[in-house]
Formats: sequence, C-alpha cells, structure tokens
Amino acid sequence: MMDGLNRITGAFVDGVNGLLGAASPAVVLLFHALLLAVLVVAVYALVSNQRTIKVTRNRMIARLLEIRLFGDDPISVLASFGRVVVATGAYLVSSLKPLFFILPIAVLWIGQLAGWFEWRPIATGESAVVTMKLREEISPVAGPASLQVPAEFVVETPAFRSLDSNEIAWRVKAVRAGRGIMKCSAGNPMVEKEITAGDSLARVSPKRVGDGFWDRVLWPGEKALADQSGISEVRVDYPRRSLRFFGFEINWLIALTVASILFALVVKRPFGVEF
Amino acid sequence: MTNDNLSKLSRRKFCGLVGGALAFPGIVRGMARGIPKLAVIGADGMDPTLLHLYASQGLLPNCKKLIDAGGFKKLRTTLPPQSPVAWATFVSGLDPGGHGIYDFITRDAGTMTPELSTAKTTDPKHFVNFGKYSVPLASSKLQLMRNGPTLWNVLAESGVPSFALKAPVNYPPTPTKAKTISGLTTPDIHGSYGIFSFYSTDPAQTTHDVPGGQIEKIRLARGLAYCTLRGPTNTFDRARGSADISFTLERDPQNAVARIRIQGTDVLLNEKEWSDWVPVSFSLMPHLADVSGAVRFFLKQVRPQLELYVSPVNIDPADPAFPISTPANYSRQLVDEVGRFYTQGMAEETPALSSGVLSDGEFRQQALHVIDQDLRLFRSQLNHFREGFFFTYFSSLDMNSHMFWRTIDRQHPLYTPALEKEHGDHLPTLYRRIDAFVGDVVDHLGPEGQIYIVSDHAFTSFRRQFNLNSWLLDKGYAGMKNRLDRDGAPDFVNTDWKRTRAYGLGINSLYLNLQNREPNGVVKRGDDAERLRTELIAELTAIRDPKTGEQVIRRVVRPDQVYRHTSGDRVPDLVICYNDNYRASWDTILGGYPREHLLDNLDPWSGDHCMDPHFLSGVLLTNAPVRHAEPALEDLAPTILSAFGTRVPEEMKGRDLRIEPANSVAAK
Repeated sequence: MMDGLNRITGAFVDGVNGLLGAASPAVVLLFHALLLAVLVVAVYALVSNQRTIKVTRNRMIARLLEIRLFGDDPISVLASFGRVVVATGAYLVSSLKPLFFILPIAVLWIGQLAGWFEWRPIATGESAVVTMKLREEISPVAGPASLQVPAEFVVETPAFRSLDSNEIAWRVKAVRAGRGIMKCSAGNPMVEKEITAGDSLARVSPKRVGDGFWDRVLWPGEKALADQSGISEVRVDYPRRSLRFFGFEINWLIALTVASILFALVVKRPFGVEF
Repeated sequence: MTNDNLSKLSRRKFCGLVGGALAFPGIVRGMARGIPKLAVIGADGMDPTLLHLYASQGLLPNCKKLIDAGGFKKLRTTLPPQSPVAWATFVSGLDPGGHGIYDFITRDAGTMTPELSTAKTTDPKHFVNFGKYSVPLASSKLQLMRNGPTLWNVLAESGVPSFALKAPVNYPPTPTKAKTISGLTTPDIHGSYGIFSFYSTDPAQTTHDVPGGQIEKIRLARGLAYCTLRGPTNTFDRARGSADISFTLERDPQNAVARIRIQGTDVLLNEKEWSDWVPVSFSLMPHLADVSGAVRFFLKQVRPQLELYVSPVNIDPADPAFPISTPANYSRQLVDEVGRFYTQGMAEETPALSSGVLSDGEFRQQALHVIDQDLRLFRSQLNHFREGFFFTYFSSLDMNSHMFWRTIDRQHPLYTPALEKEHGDHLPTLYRRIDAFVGDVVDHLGPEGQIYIVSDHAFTSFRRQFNLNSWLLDKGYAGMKNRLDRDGAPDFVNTDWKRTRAYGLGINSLYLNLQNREPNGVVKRGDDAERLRTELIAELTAIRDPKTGEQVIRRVVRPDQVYRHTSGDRVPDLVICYNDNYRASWDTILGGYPREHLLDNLDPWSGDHCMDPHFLSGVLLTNAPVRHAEPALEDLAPTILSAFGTRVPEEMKGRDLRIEPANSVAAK
C-alpha cells in the first residue's frame, strides 16, 4: 500500500516539477509551498467547523485582551492565563479534523520533496560512496561482491567490505548527467538501485530500504527491497543541496514551512476560511 | 563621437545607453573613464635564472614572448628577502620599517615567546564560568600586523574594480570594496602555518609530535582503528584542551582500499589516493559554538601497515571560522563556482616531506593538486574580470623550489643522479603550469591590457646551515641555564636571560637583549648597544666554514641604516645576510642551541632565499618595456596606482616605473 501511495505522490511531485522546467530550485520550492497552502486552506474549507474555529479563536483573543486590560490585577491575569490555555486547547481540538486529512498528505508530499531539495544529484566529475548494508546473518566476505553501474558512472574502487558494520561499499564517479539503475550483490541475488547524476534540479533516491512502515515513509523514492535479498538497505551518499533565498542559505524544510504559512494567510480570504 | 557615428545612434540604442547608465552607474562610469586593465601574477620564488633557462628550452612559450620583446627586468627584493617581508612591501609600497614585517617569526617582547609576525590574536579578558566551560564575554581580536596602505584598497577606493586572489600577507583581510581572498600567511585552524596528522599501525612508530605535524600510533581490531583528529584549542574549555574529533579508519580484509568515517561522512580511498575536501566541525560547546574546517585524507598504505595522512585542517572557505575574504561571503561564492580549495597560506605539505611522512612522489602529487586548484580558482575569476586590477598569487614555485632544489644543485648534500632523473622534471612542470596561465591572462586582457609577472625573490641552494644561537652561546654573547642540555627544548626555554646579550630569532633577525625592551634586558641602550652591534658585525662576517673555507655571513646590516622608519620593539637590531648556499638552521630560528655551529643541510628543504638580497633579485616580466634599469619591489605599488591615475599615498616612497601601455609589447 505504501509503495502505491508513494508512487502517486511521487508522480504528482515529478509532474509539478516537470511543468516548472528550468526554474531555479528556490522557485520550485516556493511553488510547492503555494500548492501546500492551497491544500491546507481547501481542506479547512471542506472539513473544518468554521463556526467553532471562529468562536474558539475569538475566545483566545478575548482572553489575551483580558490579560492586557487587567494587567494590574494578578488574580485576573492568572485566571485569564488559565482561560487562554483552555481556549487554545479548544482551538487545537477544532483543528484536529482538517489536520487528520492534511498531515498524511503533507508527510508523503514532504517525503517526496526531500528527494528533490534535501539532496542533489552527483555532479559530473564528482564522486560518491555507494553502500550496501547486509542483514546480520550474511557476512560481507562470504560471497563475491559486485557492483554494475549505468553508463553515467564508473566505479573507482574495489569493493570495501566492513566486518564491523556488515557493509560493502564502493566509490563511484559521475561521468555524464543522467539517471540509471545500478546492480549490486554480495554473492546473493542482485539488487537494483536508482542512481542519478547531473547539475540541474532532479529527484534523487538516497536509500532503497526494506518494507518497514517508517522506512517507506522516510525513503519513498523506490520500491521496498525484498526480504530474501539478504540486503537491508542500499544507499548513495548524495551531496546535500544548499538553497539560497535572497543570498541566505536556508534549510529547505524551514523555507517550505514559512512560505506555506505565508501563502496560506494570503489565500485563506478568497476561500473564506478562518484558522 | 563623429556626426557619422551620431547618425548611427538609433533611438533604441540611445534608450539602451541611458537605461544602462541608470541601472549600472558603476559600469558606465568605468566606460566613460576608460579604466585600464592590469593583471599582476605574483609568482613567489620565480627564479630569473630558471625562467630564462626553461624559456630558452622552449618550455615557457608565453614568458619567452615577453622576454624576447624586452619585457624582462630583475626586480630588487627586500632586506631580508623573505616572502612575507617582500610581499608586504609589494602590497603596501613600504619597506619593512614601514610595514612592520621583518621576518616570519617575531617575539612577544613581554614574554619572549616566539610568535608569527603577520597576525596576532588577542584573547578576551573576561569570562563567565559554567562547570567545565568558560564562556568569553567578547570575541577574540584578530589583527593583521602589516601596517600601511593596501594596494587594492587604494584602487578600490578610487573606483577601480579590483580582485586580489590569494592575497599575500593579508590575513585577516583588510576591509575593502575589492574582492579579496587571503593567501600567504593565512593559518590553518590551529593558527599555525599548518599541522598535519599521520596515523600508522607500524609497531616501530610512536605517538609524538614532529615539526609541523603529529604522528599517532593506532591499533587495529577487526580491520578497524579509532583515531583522533586534533582540533583547535577550545577557548570555551576552562582547561584549554583541544577540541578533537574522533573518526574511524577501516581497511578491507583483502583489497587495497580503506574507509574513513568521520562525522557522518564516508570517504573511500584506494591506496596512494588523496580524497577531495571533507568538511569537519570541532565542537567547542555542544550546540552553541563550533569551529568548521576542511581536510584532505591521503591513504598512504593499506598493507602491511595501515597508514593515513590527514592534511592540516584548513579554514573552510564554504563556512569560514575566521575572516579570509572580502566581502565576507566571497569565499563561499568561490566554493559555489569551483568547489572547496586550499585556504592555508602555504598549502604544500612541506613538513610532511621533511619529516619523512610523505615521499617525494607523494609530495609532488599533492603539490600539483595545490597549483591546479589555484589555477581553477584564478581562471574562474579571470572570466569575471573586465577592467581594473586583477592580482593572483602562486605559492607553488617557492614551496617546491624549497623542497626540490636538491634535484638541480649537484653540490647539494642530498643530490643524487637518480633523484634528478626521477624528480628533475618537477620544477619545470610547475613553471609550465604558470606559463600557461600567463598565456590565458594575456589573451583575456587583449592588446590594450597590461600584465606584470612578479616574483619577490630568486632562489639558491641551502647546502649548509648555521646555528646562530649556538655561535652566540659559545662566543659568550648568550647564556644557558643548563649548558649540558643543548639539545633540549627550543623557544628560549633554556636561555639564561641575565647572561644573554644577543639572541637570534627567525631566519635573519638578531636582537640585543636591551634594557627596558626585553623583560630581562641587560644591554644598555645607546653607546653600549652600538658597541655590541659593531662587535657582532665584525665577528659574524669573519666566520668561515671549516669545510669549504667560505664566508658564512656576507653582510650584517643595521636596519636603521637601510629602512626609512624603525620604531617599535619588533624591529631587529641586526639583519643577517647569509652567503650563497648558507642559511640559519631550523633549530636556531626558534631559539635552540645545538652543539655544532655549521653542518650539512640534510633536510629535503634544500633551496632557499633567506640570504643576502644582493644576489636574490626577483623577476619583473611585463608586456611593456620597463625603462628603469633597477626596478625594485617597492616601486610596484606606486607604478600600479599611477597606471590607474590613482593618487599615490605619501608614505609610499617607491618610484613610478612608468610602464607605458602605449609601448605594449603584445601590441608590437
């Protein structure tokens, strides 16, 4: 089921980014923030109890005004503080229903966006380490280790086998831009893993992992590894992407969150939504 | 503009020009004034003899073109002809008395502790203590000790767009509108000129410090070793320990490959391979204060012993812990363009070669990486250069001539024909790299642009070393607390200051132990000091090498007789001008007293230039003839400023060499 959901959200994000073509990563991210804001506002419009939200929010404001008005009366201020807490709780409860719909979509969406904005493809001429983590019962020196890379890459080192961490690793170098499938094995059946090279904005999948729920949520880029492969994960150490907004380097998730909130504040009026 | 031209000026073009003037006033102002294009390639240690030799062999076609057209002159260097001293003169247009850099090393006159002469860090005075932490209430003060004007600052202030890439003796960089990144004298993260780390499983190896580095013996368990990368002194730690990083080094059970795992980054290396830059972060106070740096790993050997070399921790240009560029984010922009690069001023791993940790071949590999990174950086910025002043500095010829002079001097104690055969092509290779860049710059400038190739000094052989402090001790000018411990610690630890009248510090400097200047001064200022100086000059110039019969010290100079200003307690009382092939020993530089006065130099550091400047003139190679017969380094700043029509600051006493663009050799 998770693979199916990941495929849908992956296709959506790929489609949006494909439409934006050669726009800068910052612009693409802001566009996603806008879409996310529209989603939030639309869900609020559809499923939230706007009257309750309005009432609880007004109550919060009223309690805050109480604190300001009766600032010279400590007992009143304390009582108002208590009422602010109660009002805030009521406000959060009234927001639970829309959040119930928004959060799963946002988590899947952000999981997909991470593949675009947390990391970047390996630039032409740049090297990266590919690591295959084996299940505990399989020794890295038990069988012949092999790695076949697509034409966009060359393998720069022989297999490095770690007895300490039960891993096999290679260093690969990008020789031209493109996306391909590499095949690796520790003597057991071959496992495939996507690998991407290039200098432009493109989706990457840093890890291919097993079928655990959170693994599938956090690493949605590829299908889960089969249990019988003997491999628990294959990862590519893609370089981190740095995003600049007006000359300042800002983490993409912070930028997305802040921009989504700002966009939501702007678009809530046309939707006639309060939150 | 002629009427014909005016008639061709369409309304659209006119609007474009006016629009451009409003949008980019600086560019239009430059166009209106016709700012010249002048590039200076600073080639530290380019030797005029080698330049002519390699040019005549057809190895340097671009330089040969300039030489053949009359653009070559020997360039008088400074006293002493040390790189920081000489480049400080180039940058400021002042002699050492003016810019205040007299030697690589100086001392804190209060404590007599040797220290680097070009920059000084003053720690904050007030701290708040929390448990094991001591939080300073102010930041440390980092100060450039070079005085006087800075060439590119004066130009930038006059509206001349300026670049100064790997600017020497400019750490921390002086505030300016010019785009600069610091070069020579920029320290590593420890504040030194570079401390390498070497890890080895060799049972014969012990954990110990060597000059410019540290060696750590490591043990393997299931192919894995735990290592520690020494960090800077933790200024937040009450005990002032170092902020270290732990990392693992693991080798494959069979293949000649190993993995370094450091702070979440995996580095996989084949044997004899260098890694790319790896950013590291030293935590001073968890989540609150850290210092970032960048290192390169070299997997020297996988079997039988596992050996890993780690470069000195460079200031990371992507996240500089200390100021290295103007504007401050320029170094990060450079990283975006060309990737990380060496920021350490003397990036070649010379201490590792001297201590035998790296072989000649391994050193060469690293040295080529340094010049190639420099070239990539310089070429990327050359593409942005349209007009104004463009300066680049190469350390490669200097550092490699120091280490590989033994391949070309057949009289050097370390010379062998096999060495010449194997590595004799190294210096020509480097000269060729720079020559290719000269060609790129000439092409980029076009016929109207000017290019100066400047070297601060020539090179000669360093065959014999002289222990100045040992000589002073044995002649009764210095005293030791324990005369039996002559091989003990340097830094004047064993010096009996009450019985010391003179001491050598740095490569060419000799100081008197003056009353009211040194904390335990014994020599009275005035006549006593003058008499002592006269006596020392006579005795020092009389020293003969028993092995060769040659005079060891050619001249001893009183700085006050050659420098225009000599104030402050950093000015040496005498400057020692060694004879050809002779130089101060490494032991004497920091205040050691070995037993011998003169001995063969058996360090790969086999070439040098800290001798008499009379036979160490550098290079001035231009694409326009230089009329003056004897140009000097201090003439260049006024000459360059005059070329841009910029007012020459009064303190600059050098001449305008009037290297006229109208006489451009390239144009001819």
